Amino acid sequence: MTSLAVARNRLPIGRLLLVVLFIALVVAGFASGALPADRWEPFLLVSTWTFLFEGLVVTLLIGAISLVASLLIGIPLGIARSALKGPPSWIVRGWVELVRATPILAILIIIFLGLSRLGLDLTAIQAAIVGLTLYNSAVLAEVVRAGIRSISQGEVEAARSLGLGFGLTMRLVVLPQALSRMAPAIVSQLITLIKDTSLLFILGGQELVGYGRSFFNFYGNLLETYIVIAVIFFAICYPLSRAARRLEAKQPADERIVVTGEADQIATATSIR
Amino acid sequence: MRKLIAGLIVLAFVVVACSTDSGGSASPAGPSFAADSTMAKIQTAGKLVCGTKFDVVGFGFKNPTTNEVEGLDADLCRAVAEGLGVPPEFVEAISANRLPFLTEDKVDLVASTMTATDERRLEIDFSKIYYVAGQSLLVKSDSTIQTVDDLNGKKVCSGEGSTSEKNVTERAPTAELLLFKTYTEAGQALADGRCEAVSTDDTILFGLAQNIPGTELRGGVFTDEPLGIGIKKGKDDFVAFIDSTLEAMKADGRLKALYDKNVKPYTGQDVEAPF
Amino acid sequence: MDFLSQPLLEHSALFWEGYRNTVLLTVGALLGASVIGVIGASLRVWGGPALSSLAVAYVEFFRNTPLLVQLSFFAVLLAPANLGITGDPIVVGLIGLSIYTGAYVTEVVRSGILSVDPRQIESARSLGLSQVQSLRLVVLPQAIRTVIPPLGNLAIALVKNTAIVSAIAATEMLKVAGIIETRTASFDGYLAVLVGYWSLTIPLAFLVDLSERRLGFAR
Repeated sequence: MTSLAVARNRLPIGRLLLVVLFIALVVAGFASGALPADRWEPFLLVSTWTFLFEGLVVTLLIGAISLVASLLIGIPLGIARSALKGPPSWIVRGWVELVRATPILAILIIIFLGLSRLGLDLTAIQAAIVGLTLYNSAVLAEVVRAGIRSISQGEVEAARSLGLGFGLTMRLVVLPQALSRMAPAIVSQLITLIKDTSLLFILGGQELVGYGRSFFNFYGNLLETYIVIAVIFFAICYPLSRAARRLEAKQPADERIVVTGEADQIATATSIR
Repeated sequence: MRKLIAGLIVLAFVVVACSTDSGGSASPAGPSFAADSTMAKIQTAGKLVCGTKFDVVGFGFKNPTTNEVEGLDADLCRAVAEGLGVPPEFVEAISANRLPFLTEDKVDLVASTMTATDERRLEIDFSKIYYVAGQSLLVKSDSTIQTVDDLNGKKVCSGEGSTSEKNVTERAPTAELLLFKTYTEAGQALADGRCEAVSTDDTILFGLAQNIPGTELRGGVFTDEPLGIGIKKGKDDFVAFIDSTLEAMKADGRLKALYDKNVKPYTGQDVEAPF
Repeated sequence: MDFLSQPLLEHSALFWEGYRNTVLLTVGALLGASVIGVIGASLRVWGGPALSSLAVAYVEFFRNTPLLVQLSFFAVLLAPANLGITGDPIVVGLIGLSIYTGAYVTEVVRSGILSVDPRQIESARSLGLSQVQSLRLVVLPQAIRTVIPPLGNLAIALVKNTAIVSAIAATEMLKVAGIIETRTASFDGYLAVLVGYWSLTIPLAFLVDLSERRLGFAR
């Protein structure tokens, strides 16, 4: 364990070196002309930041609405998935697996174009919320199912033998414990969700990336704008990722929930050792 | 007696004048339409929803400082809206979604530098042709490309699903196409060298040439692109209304004023109304 | 409605080009990400404070920013007028996806390395094996067991992420569906492409579940 312990103690110095490195990169960028100073000037204006802030608000709103809606749909779906047997269970499972096996961008575009063919009127933002909710409710259903399954059968049987019906068992025994186990997975999915709001830009919606692109049209500094947008996303997602890991650190390893095919969740689960 | 006859003549004039007024020409004063006409429905909705481009200088361009949509297409929409007595509302209609937007009633009309092709006429209706554009090429000033035939084996940027990309494939079958959802992105790809030419209507290219230094149009115009306002099928009354609005604007010079304001700065030439 | 509709039949060559590019992007980025991941994990575990922090910065930055922004940035940065590395959207996609996925692979490989008892590494070193040799002959075989299911999950996520490369004008499956739809106003392109994606992700998911069971992971 010695080499690893030493490695961990040296990290704070490493962070200082990182800051120095970053500053050096920025200065080099200015000096070499690759990221000319004048193209960064628009970012010194307050109006720039209020403009980008509008886009950020849209992004966060879409994320929040989609998360709440996904939870409202995903939790009952997950409970249904674990409670049902036979053909109804297969239908739910089939639906969840198919949705999760589809790229989120494909879902967004298909909903945007497809619903309009069926006669439903949706703006890009509304279609995005529907699509993100559809996808993430399926993922959260799996998280809930895994969470419920992770509660030992012994407790469930004990609750039943005390006379508690299915609903009460769920509400008083299983779900409270399962929810705390699911917390890191849910926070990780929120990170994915916020990153996925950037895909709205492809639908023509105006969220942070869309605002950034129109900002570029005006000032002609595309690379710099992308860097700023990336940093804004980072400022939101990194704290969430730290929170997810802290939540996970509180759990014993065999209680961790990871859902197949979701990268951000694997990241949380494996970064702790 | 004379006063009575004079009064009757004046009355006759007034009656004739009033009935002429309500005859349906593009008079902005108190427009009213048959109860179940498309125009009446739009008036009930309280707004005219137009699909336009937001990134095509001269036709449909959303100014970031004023948040207003400028250009010929936008101004035509405003004229139609004025004729209905409702405010216009602008929605961005990119090449890839403007047909679905119409057929699914997301917009009342589409004025989005849309070519009136026979294929499209099977799905939607068009107003009179308000501008004849043509497909051309935008290249860097130091490029060796002169005409569309030089595009073979080269990387060409165009719009996903547009008539332009089909035309390029037909005229230069071995050209490699990079297809973007907006022409702004295509222009950016030309600027940083990911493609050697952007090919689409000259109307769009003029705007790009304006914004990207060191580029110019080459090869003249190799197609005829008649632009029309798109309307969903089954709204013949609306098509007639729009056409008569256009006629009136041609007659009283408003149309020429719009051409001079929106198009001439980029083409440097006067425009003749094509109808 | 025919199973193979007219618009689909006309564009079948285009569809297969899209499918091919999706597979190419997936496999290529997986290889690239694996290389980056092994390097990154090694830096993290055995690098000094500077290299280790560099690896942490890389991982945290590329995992907490959207792939779309990264790809758009690289498309412009690598273009002929700037760094001049490539203008081909597929190549940019390969590089961008490798870097993005590599950030995740780094963490997976790192946990795989750390799952091996460090005394084994020390024993190997004291027996005279170099760092590279002890890594290759002692650590990796054991780490691979830990690492395969999460890597399988990343592969599934990668297949889905290739769809985003359509935004920088690469002709992969989602772009093909869009081309068919706007040329012919037919939705069949999207249906075909959905089946195409499922043909890749569903078997992979099945394999991951299988490997989890075989390698003794309870879920």
